[in-house]
Amino acid sequence: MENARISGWQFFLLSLNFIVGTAFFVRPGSIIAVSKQDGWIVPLIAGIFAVLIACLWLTLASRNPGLSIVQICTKVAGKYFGGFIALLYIWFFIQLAGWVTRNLGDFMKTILMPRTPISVFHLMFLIVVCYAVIKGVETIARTIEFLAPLVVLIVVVIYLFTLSEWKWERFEPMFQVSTWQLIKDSLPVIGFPYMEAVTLMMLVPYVKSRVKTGLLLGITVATLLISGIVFVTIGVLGVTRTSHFAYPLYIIVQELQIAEFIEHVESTIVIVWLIWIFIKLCISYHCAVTGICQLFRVSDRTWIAIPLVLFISGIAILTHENIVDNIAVDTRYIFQYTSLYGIVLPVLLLFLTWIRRFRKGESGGSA
Amino acid sequence: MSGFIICFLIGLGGSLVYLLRRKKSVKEISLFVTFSLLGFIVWLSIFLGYKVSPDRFFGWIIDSIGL
Amino acid sequence: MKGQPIIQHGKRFLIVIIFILSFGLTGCWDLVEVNRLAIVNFVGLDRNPVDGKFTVYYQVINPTGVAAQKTSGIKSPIYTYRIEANTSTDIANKIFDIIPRQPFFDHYSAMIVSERTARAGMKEILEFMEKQRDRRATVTLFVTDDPLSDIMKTYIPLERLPGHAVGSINESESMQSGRAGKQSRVKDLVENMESAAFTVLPFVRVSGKVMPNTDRYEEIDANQGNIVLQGGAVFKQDRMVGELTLDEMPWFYLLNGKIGVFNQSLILDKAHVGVQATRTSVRKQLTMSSGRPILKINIESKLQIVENTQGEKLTVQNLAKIKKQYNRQISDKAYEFYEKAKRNQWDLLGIEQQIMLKRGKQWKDAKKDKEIWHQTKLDLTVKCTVDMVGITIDPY
Repeated sequence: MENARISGWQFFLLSLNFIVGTAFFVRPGSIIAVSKQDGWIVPLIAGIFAVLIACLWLTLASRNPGLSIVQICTKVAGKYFGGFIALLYIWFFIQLAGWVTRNLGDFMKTILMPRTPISVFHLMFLIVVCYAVIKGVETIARTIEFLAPLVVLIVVVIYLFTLSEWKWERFEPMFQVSTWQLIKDSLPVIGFPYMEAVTLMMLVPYVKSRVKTGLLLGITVATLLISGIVFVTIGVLGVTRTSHFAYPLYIIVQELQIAEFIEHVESTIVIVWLIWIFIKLCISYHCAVTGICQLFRVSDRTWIAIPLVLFISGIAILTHENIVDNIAVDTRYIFQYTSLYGIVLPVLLLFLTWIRRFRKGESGGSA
Repeated sequence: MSGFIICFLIGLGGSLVYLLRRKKSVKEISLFVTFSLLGFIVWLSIFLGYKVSPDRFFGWIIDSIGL
Repeated sequence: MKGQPIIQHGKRFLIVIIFILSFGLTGCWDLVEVNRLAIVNFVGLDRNPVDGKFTVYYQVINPTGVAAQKTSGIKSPIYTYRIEANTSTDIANKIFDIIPRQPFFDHYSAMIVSERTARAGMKEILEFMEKQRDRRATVTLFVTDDPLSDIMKTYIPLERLPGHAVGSINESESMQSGRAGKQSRVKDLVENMESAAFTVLPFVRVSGKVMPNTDRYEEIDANQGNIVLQGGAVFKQDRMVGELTLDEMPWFYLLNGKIGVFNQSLILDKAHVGVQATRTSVRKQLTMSSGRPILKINIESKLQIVENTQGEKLTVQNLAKIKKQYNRQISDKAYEFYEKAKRNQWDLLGIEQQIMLKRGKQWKDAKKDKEIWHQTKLDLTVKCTVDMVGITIDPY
């Protein structure tokens, strides 16, 4: 395992950007399509659940200090069963990287470069990310520390300009959906992006201090950002048009005109999204590689990371055929699927940890 | 497709020579080969048209469990 | 350090990566060469409601014609291509039959449809436009009842690109006179497609005879063969249902609170006073009183006097008279406009849509009754202040 250290602030940025990452662009459309004017409440509900789930992860981590989730698996569940769970997690990280890569490809192909083969985007991006992963988590954390303020600034400035199209009438009628329905609608949102944040439990051992604050604050701020952008989308673009678009946020910026002559600023928002995808992909890729290294006790990441480029780019192609397919899987299965990794397995591991400690205490007492 | 296979074999061969010359541990080399082959199989299945979506697969499992 | 090999071979590794990445640079596929583009500036669309056939006109910019005005040689800044097709998809095919370059739609500035197309419903066309990544929904949409070929095949004076010209006319009218509105873009029409609210788009015609030759640039009479704003086309959802005259247009924008500057000529004891409302704030509130909706509209204007033909001095008392007359005239005309719209079955104030958005028990029955907006009582309050009187105070 690498001897990297990351600070609490860096871990906060990692969590924030990891969660906001792809969700910022992919989520608003689907949320508004389902919950209409009340869409902005959905991320808030999902965020509250996410904080509770994150507390579960943090408990698990504090019971097994200094260990990543893959190490916890092998430690508490034994070599074979634990190894199997660890493999499941590694597969999840790889699949996550595949999803993120495919989100990038879909976006670039639909919006910007329709004639370029989708795999080209995937491979180009993965090679760069692979390099970052080989360089290690400290490098990634520092990159994020450098890029995050820039990204947030661009996003805030651009969406402030769009407020000239703002209409409060677009929020009418408000509070039409019942609370129960809203909770139901927020399930996929809990699955993606919040439950995916279990990936961050791979990075916990590297964090010097303030793990809890970093993660929980990261989730909170990400929630506010996502809810905020849904709010802005409703106010600026309106429910009718938003629910028909694949990437409403892009449309908002595409239709932005600043002072009659500054137009076509959409490329800036594409850059922002590329940065976010880069961050999320770096983290999930890194966690997959580290997971493999820890499971098989290999010290050098390089030769694990390189073949994964091929594997992940393949998974990215296989994962879905088009956005429609993606949305269908997302609304139906994502919560159930990710809760396996986000809730079921952590609870199981926590339970096994307690049993272990109980037995240890017992044997310690009898000796 | 043949281009892909040739490129893959050259890449794999080259990397193996490099790894052996640097006297890497057997575990590392075998992991490297395993993941390379996994990636190769995935891409081969894409080229041959046997596309199995992992998402759909897990969806099918969730359906059959009845969640 | 565990990552030793990479540190040692870092530079070589980097060079290899850069080398590999340069192969993937996406320019190979999505290459855009400016000299190979046909930059479309103005699009005209007509669909025959009987057989559903499309006739599309593309006005493509001729860069040498736009730039080199002083040199002799090619003078035409634009060329108009006509394409006939059965479906929107078919157009995409046939476009290459005649245009030798790659059509580039990212920057077109206006679009015009024929009246019969608009009256037959534009859903299909709008759907197609919204789906394309390179056509933006912020272009202004115009309607005409002149043959499209006339509009698309005339050179106009001063502004060399007709697409720009009509866009600018709409823009300045919306800011200076209230006879057109900024909310006449494709996106505004699309946004109202699923609601009961009405959209008004500018209506244009060709004045005089068509000028299809560049010799027209030497012709002094600018009225000949020019594109002129004529009024507004009223749309419900995707369908044109009627026409507003230019004089009625400000009332639509005023009552919907979207007006900028507009002018009024007030009659005062045979003389008239011209005022310009420089800033108007409009507040609307829909309430229900004994089963009948009441729409309260509060209009508050800041006036500037631009003309005064009265024989008396401009005193505080006289100003009060002017203000009173303004308030009365605005509310009279607004009522008149509202009644006319009602007679035509046009819910131009968007009352039905507002009722749909209301919550609460008292609105429950109203929502079921599609015709209830007819019974809505308009309750207008107009206030104004005169804050500018112009350079002179008293008339001579």
